[in-house]
Amino acid sequence: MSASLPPPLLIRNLTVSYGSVLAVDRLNLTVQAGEIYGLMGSNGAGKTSTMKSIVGLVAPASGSVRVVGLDPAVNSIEVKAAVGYVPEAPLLYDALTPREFLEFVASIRMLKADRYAGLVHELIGALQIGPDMDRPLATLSNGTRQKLMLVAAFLHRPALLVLDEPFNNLDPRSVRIMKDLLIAYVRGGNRAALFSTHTVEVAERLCHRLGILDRGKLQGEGTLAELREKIQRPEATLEEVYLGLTTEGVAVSRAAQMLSSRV
Amino acid sequence: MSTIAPSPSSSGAGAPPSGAEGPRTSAAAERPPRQDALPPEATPPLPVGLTWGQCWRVAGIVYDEFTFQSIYALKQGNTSVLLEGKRGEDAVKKARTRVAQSKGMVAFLLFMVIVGGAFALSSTIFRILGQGLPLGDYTISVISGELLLIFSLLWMTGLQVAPTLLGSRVFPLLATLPLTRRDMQRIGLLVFARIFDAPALTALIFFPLAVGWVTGSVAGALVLAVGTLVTVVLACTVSLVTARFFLVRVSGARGGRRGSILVRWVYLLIWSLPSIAITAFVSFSTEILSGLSYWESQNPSAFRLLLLAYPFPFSYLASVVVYPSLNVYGSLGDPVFWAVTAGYLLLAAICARWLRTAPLEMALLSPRSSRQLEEVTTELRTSSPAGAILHKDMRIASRTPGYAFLILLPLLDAFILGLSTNVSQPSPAAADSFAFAAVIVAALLATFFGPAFFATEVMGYSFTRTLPITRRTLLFGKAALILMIYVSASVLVMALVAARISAPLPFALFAAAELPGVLAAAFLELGVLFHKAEEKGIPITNLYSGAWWAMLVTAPGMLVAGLPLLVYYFGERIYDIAVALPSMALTATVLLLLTASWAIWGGPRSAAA
Repeated sequence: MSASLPPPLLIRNLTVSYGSVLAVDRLNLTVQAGEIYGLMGSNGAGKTSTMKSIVGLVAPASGSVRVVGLDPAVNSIEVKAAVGYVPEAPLLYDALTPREFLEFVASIRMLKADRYAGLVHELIGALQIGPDMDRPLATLSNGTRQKLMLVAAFLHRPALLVLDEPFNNLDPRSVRIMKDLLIAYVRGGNRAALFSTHTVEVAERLCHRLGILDRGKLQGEGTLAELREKIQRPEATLEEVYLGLTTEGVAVSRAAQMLSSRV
Repeated sequence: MSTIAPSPSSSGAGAPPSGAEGPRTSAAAERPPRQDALPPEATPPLPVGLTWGQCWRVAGIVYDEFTFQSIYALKQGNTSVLLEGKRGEDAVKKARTRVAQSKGMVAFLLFMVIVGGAFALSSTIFRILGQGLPLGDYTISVISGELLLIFSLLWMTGLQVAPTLLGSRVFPLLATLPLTRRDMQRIGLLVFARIFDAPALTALIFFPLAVGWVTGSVAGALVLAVGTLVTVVLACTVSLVTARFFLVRVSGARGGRRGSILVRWVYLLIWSLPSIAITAFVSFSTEILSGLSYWESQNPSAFRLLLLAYPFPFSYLASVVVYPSLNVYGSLGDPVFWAVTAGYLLLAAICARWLRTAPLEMALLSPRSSRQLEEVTTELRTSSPAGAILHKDMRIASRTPGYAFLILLPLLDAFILGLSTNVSQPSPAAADSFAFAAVIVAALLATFFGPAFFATEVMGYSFTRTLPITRRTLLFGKAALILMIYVSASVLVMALVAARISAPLPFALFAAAELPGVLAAAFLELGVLFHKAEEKGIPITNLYSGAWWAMLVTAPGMLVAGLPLLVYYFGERIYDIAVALPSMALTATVLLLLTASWAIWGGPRSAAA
């Protein structure tokens, strides 16, 4: 990466709160070009809130977010043009068909047909959503809707992909395809992806670096080797690293104890 | 939230319920053997049939959930309730209040219709509106009209809400709970009944009472109570059937094929029938009575046949009971009449029986088409960003009756006014007046209904907020829709009345001169909505919940759209049309420049676009 170019994502002291609930607490995070960065954490750890603040769905209480050097609060349109987003839940226009939805997204992004036509054809073929192209979204499965969201996110070849639990509803075949596509996508060196997941296996195989979030705070960050070093267990699996860095390890043992008791 | 008290009989662990059906029994039979390694545990009691009271409480919870989903459009991607950081209880309370307000408004409208109709039966009003009809025929016509209005209003209410209920997925969730099928059906019935409760009770109680009070006939009130009950049952049934029809043929219909959008719009015309019936009855009641009078005098035998059509048997019976001496048709001695009347009662009974189970069973049906679809092309057709907003709204409207209605009503109104001008052969001066009035109505209706389309931005909200949509794009897209409604309605009127009006060119110029006025009103209305949305960071209006906002902005909008019309009116009366038309066009253009500038560049600047 050229030193003069700003990183695709730079977060400094980001705090997000909903009323009295603190969702993200002074988060610092950088995603470099050519990198797939995985955010791991349990439900309510602050992953989705972090991602929503990047794409402008949530206004930060304090701190700063920069996407390719731009502030989403000031350069809203430019940031949205540079980001491809897949939300946690595929909530879309139920009355539209996938074709109509993609036409809407491509039109809003002012894409030329020669830029997206081949890509759309290949993605739709690979993810096997061709037969559903003219069915209303209301009648499609969550998996198909999720695939459509992924196609829409890739459509304009964004500098930064922000994917919130992107593999949640996907079948194993589609997960595999998406993993390959993501790796190929960032390989060029000028694009990056930030994605959140619960799945240890996906995070381990896909991410260049990982961030472990717990109760809004980043408990650890780095490659798997760096994280193992942090908990001083060189042979630990990612699952063990995750439990070691968060408070969940203790809770899990307590729950297991309760379940095995005869009370 | 209310909770369900455990049934006294449910404490008996493991005892199979007497009324239990289907999956529960088989699930018990197929339960895997208990592992010896585990300690003996108290087996959860199997469910038994709930009482109606318990079903009512569960239905309350389900209805709250349905209300919550509908009001906040959460399933469509609206996260505003979460973004506002509201407490959950407040949001639920607000949803309940808004639904109660909507039902209250429909019930109040129905009450006014009922009271108005009952007073139309008084001798004073009969002398004014009678149109030469004998008192008996007049009474039959008014009561029939009232019953049809009750039917139409209830159907219209059902059409707006029932498809949302069937598609809300609250019932499939219920199916995962240990409830018997019968309990679920009862709960489904009670939830469905809650959609209509206030309006239906208003009709059932006040219509017979009001007619009985005005005519002084208790027997007449009792006959009408039966007639109203039949009407309510039929309206609920038709609502449910058409809701399912909508889910399969409109909401779930395939896109992409040539003509498929047109077909959906044709289906959506059905949605407009109740409102057309209401509009036509209210607007043309004297013409209808006059037509009936003419028909009765020319062809009494055919008029007698009309008595067999719903809802005439009930209004005829009520009329005969109220005025026994006016039994001019002698149908009371006609076995066919009694057979048909009994047929309607039987039909209502069958419908009522069907309604006991249908709301649940229809909600559990999949909206999917079972047909295997062939591989299709992946070709996409793009447009300008503003054009994409317009296309998207039109496509959503073609599968959403509530939005389709907003487009169809101005067009249908223009069609009815244009057609009546065409077929009634008025004098050229009168035809000119009708045609101008039709264009004015089209302008005002487009201005009145257009802002409601801002609510489509609630759907897919969390995703579309991440797209680079500028303020100008959104405003242009939405304003284009309002303009399209006006232009289509005006062209329709022009096509229908062209042969009847004396001066087609000034009429066309009049319609064209008003065009910037409509656009100016659109920019003002949408600008207010958009600035408010930017301030709050959320789309503030929802078709079902935040309609107040859309209503509020229509007042200044209609003022702006009406100003050029007033300039024309006074200009034409004080000077002549040569002065009136340019003045009107100039006023409209100035207004357009002012409102468009303000909407696009004025107001608060925010990144929440």
